[in-house]
Amino acid sequence: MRKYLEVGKISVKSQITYRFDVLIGCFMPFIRVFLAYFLWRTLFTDKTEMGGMTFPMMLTYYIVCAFIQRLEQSNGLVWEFAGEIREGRFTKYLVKPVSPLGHFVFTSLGKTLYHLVFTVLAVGCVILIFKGQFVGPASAGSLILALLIAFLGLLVMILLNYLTALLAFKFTDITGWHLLNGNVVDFLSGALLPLSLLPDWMQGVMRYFPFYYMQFLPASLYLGLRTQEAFFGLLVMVIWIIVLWGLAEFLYHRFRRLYEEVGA
Amino acid sequence: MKGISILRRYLGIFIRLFKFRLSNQMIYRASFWTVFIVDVSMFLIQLAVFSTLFLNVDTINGWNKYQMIFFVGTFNIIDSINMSLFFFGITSIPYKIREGKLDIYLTRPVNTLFWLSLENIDVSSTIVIIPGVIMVSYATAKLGITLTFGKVAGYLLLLILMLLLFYSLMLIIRTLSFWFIKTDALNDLEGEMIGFSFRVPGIVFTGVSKLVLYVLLPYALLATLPTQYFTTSFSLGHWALALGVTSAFVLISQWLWRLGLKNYTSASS
Repeated sequence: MRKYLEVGKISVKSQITYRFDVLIGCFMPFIRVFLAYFLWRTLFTDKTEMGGMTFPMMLTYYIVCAFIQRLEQSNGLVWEFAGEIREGRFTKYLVKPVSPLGHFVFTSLGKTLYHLVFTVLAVGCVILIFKGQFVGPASAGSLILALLIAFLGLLVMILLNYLTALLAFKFTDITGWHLLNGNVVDFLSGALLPLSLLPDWMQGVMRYFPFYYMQFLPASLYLGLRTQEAFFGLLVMVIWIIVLWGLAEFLYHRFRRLYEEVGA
Repeated sequence: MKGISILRRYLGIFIRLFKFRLSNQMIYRASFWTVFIVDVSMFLIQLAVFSTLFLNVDTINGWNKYQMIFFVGTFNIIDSINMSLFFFGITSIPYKIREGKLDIYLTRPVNTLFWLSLENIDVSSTIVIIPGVIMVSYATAKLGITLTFGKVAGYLLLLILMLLLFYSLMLIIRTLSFWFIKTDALNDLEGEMIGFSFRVPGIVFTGVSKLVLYVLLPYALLATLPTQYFTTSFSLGHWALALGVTSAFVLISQWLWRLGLKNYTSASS
């Protein structure tokens, strides 16, 4: 475990080099909040509630989703990892006593930890701008549950991204797969629209998949909505993490035989 | 006469680049189809977003479901032409500046920007134009719009103007690489703006936000103006806005490009 904590520490340190880019980048997801504000302000013109939310709750939903989204930092690592496989630099993982999966997870978490500082700052600025509309957490309990499920969602996303990166062993260029993964997750996690706007049967199906719990449920819990789904959500996420972890290890051991070390 | 011969020469170069890329992409068929699948997935997700919205509302600031389908179709057409023609060429510019690989392009007896923009034509993205055209045709039929030559010609003209605007906006961000090493945050900003201009029609913006997204960062114009022209009323003011903003951004992008070239130090070469 200690060696993986060291990996995390190195990841934090490497981020310090690009602090200006990190600072600017932290504000990017919040552009989505501003644009969502204008869209939903129009949609709420003759309505007081949609998908169980008032306009301030809807705005807060997007702020919470943007916060969670910014903490997910394994996205960029997919390109690095796939590049290492393609250009033969992956060999370092074969000679070091570390698991590539563990390395990937802890590097991602290290980046998340560093981005957390700047993201909190960015959220503070956004809340100040929308202070009349921003809704605080419903209760300390719902906030803790939201954070816990969001953290598990983060782990699921890291595992999904690791699986995408592993495809580089087989397909070399994984650009399409990675973009497809991002597009699908964006919609299914509720980052584009609250999933409560979807028909009930669709929400029922989505409850068995991890995407529902990545952004939609944490943001809903924060707002004091769907609290009865929290424990089922925790169970679903733990099961998915075990399944994805197992799949990642299985595919790694299968795919690494395809590694040709080209360019090493 | 000289103008026509230059045009023929560049058309010839364009056809050769296209043929070269087509044969190149057919070697890597998996990549060819994944790009296609990604583009189609974006388009389906977009449809899902608006279908979900229209399960809960009847109109978006006066636009009904079919106008929104027209809007999504129009954006799809603009985006697929952008992806097919110049997206991959333009996005590779910062790397070429950073690594000093621009030298070889500067020495070629062809306009550097023309070559850079069109050397990475993506043939698979052209297929995605089909669902866009189907959506636009379907919405036109549902809205009961009578097709006239003027209506179609005006729409096509606006599509060309919006493509020029899109190209100029992309180029401006990439030319900043002449002065700054890392422009990832600006790329992210562009991604967010394009993503949202795909999802939110410009008609929802008012006041300062309208000024920003129609004039200063005019991403909101891209699919909104052609849709407004085809499905609602379109005044002379709208034409002035389309022509004025596009001309201004084309001029700014060309000026920045030339300024950047003067500043180019050919690092690493």
